Amino acid sequence: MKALFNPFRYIAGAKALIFGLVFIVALALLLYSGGFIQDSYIHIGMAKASLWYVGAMQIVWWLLPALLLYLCGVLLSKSKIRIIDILGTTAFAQLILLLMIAPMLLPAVMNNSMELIATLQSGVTPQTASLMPIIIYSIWSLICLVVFYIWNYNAFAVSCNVSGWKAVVAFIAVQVVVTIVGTII
Amino acid sequence: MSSTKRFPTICPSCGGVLAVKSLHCAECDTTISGQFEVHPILRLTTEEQQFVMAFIRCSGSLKQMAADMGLSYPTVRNILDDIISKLQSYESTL
Repeated sequence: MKALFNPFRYIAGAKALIFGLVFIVALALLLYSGGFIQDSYIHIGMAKASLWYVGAMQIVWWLLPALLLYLCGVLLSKSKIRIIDILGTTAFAQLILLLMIAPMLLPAVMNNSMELIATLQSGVTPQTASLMPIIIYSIWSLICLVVFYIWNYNAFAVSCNVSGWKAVVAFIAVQVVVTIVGTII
Repeated sequence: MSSTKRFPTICPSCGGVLAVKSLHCAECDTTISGQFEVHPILRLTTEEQQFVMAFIRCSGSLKQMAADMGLSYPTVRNILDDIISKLQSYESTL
């Protein structure tokens, strides 16, 4: 159970980074195949972009918060922290985004989403039964989002040896900054 | 279940730091009385003392310790840093 919410107690550094980069590449391929792109931090949009561009965006939205968290770690931690740990653990946390996005490309969810958009655009109130796949997917993605934040917080806490209110405030500040940057770009 | 009792370092009555007043030799039944200070390392928990022992056995290699303990490098470093700050606070109260 501990490992489920804090895998970084057991994995960090180069090993986590290698796994994380595999997850990032898989995520980029998955998004590209579905015609999606991660256009800001924790936001997926539809776009016809090249695979390289989709991949580059994945790297940006992983690297930006990771470097900001590292900066916070340098300022707050009393330990001698390593950049590879924060890069590795935050990259590893991308696994949750992969698990969140993979079901989105299932035909049932995909078709249901398209039907829902078409129904809403035509001004008709959609039937609850017909919304089941998207409701189930929404619950799943909400759970994934919560776990994603928990993993990222633990990545920061373990890699930088920070805890308590200072760690929480720094983590929230980074999330807010990255979200604002995401809306500006 | 182990019969070894944990060395008490904190007074259960007032929470103060305990000192050793007498030592006994089980071999010849000699008892030495006096006022002996408890070394800060003895005030660590059993797990922390085991960690210090493992640290010495690994010649201070945190990477080796992480591999042996099945933990990540930063986790091991964090445990060590916590022990260091604990020892520093004990030493400052001496």
